[in-house]
Amino acid sequence: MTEPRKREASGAIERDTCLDLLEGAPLARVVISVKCLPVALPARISLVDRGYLLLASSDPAVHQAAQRKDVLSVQIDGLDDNGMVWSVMVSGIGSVASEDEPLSGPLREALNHGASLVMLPLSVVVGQHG
Amino acid sequence: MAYHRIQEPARLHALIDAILLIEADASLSTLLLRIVETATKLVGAQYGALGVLASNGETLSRFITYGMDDDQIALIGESPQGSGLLGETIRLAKPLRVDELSEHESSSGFPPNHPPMHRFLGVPVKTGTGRIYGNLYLTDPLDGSPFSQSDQFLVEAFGRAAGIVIDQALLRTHMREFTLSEERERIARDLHDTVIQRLFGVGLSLQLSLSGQIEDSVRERIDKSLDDLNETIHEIRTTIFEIDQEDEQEISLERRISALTVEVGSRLGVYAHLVMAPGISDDVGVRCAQHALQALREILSNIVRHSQASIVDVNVAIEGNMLVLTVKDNGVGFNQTSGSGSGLRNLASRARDVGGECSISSELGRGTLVQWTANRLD
Repeated sequence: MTEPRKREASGAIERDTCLDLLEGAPLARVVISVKCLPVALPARISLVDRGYLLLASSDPAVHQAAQRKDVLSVQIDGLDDNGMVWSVMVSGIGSVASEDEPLSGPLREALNHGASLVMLPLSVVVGQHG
Repeated sequence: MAYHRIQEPARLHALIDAILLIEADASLSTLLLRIVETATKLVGAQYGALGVLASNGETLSRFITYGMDDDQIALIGESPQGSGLLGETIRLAKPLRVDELSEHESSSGFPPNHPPMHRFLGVPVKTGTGRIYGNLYLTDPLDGSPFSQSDQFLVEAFGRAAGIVIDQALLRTHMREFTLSEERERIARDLHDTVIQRLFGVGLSLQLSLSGQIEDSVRERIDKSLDDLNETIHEIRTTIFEIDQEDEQEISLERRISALTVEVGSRLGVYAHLVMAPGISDDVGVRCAQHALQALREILSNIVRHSQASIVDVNVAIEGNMLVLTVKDNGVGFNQTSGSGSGLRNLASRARDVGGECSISSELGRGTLVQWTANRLD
């Protein structure tokens, strides 16, 4: 996995590095609540112009959350070369995206297999090391 | 102290009245305007202005006038930056009194459409810590006489009082931001850590009860309750999100721009020099502020990622109704004829969204200059 380049002493990862990590991550988990229980669902992701995220998920709960314009959180994490865990979370109000969006190959493939497309603005981007 | 040098009781009373007229709880912009107006009237001048010093201490970042109407100001065009006699007052850092402006060696004349002015009095406005915040500039007593030493003492004393009130206004703004920010953070944390977790706990209990032998009508009711609770969780999460967003907006634009520039300077190894009009947060609408901050973030991010620059000059100014963001770096530049990337298109699009535009000039080996504008009232 890519090692975050810059970080503060507190372990926070700066926004620019968070976006680098998001650009390199094909898969993330979308955290929502279903039937009053927290659930994490896998989704293909693609960062577009470093301005917003596109998610492709085949779970209808993600599509419904986007239809309701719920607040969605998307998380990715990994290990750096020193074996330290890093994680990045993006939160924003999700919405159903048009298939005219610029789609990466994996996202297009996911759509061909019945996934639905969700757009998430980068309203909150936080990264943490350790 | 300048107060002791005011011998005439009538002038001392006028000074006290003037100081009392400064509304300590007004916003910074209103306060500065009031200070100029009061100082001008205090010595019976025709025109008055307050030039606020930029962070470099050498130029003016803001120029608030009294005695000229908006049409006159628009005809003159760009605000003074601190050359000529205005600059001389900045350099001297002490009062300057001139009987005939045009005869002073530092005089650089007036721009077209500027009304003629002859008598001049410039006085520094110092904050409680002794820092010069700006200068009061007064011209042409209405009775035609030159400014007297008594006028100078009077404005000096008033300037000292005004500086303390400005200090208080700046402090009050910072305290308000800090208190609101802390309280919002606490509420958001409580909602997330306590309320939502309890709802998840209740949800789990209800889910467990569904796994037993229960009547269909009860099962339906529990299922419906789970949906209702789930909806409540969504609403709470939305509220937490909104609190976080508002919290971000509560921090003044000035502080967010400073923090962003410091971040680039200290963490990414680029020397970032910021010149910003003080009190700019009061003059810029919420939407404009959000877009400007995001634009600056994108510009600085591009510089750090692509330019190999070691120095970046950031200038944030108000020109009429426009917020003007100018960023210049000493990096490798790029060839503009080879087409612009999506990042640059985003900047232009973001500017258009708030009634502005974005121009970029760059040359290989000679750095890049980005000027991004937005309607500050948006």
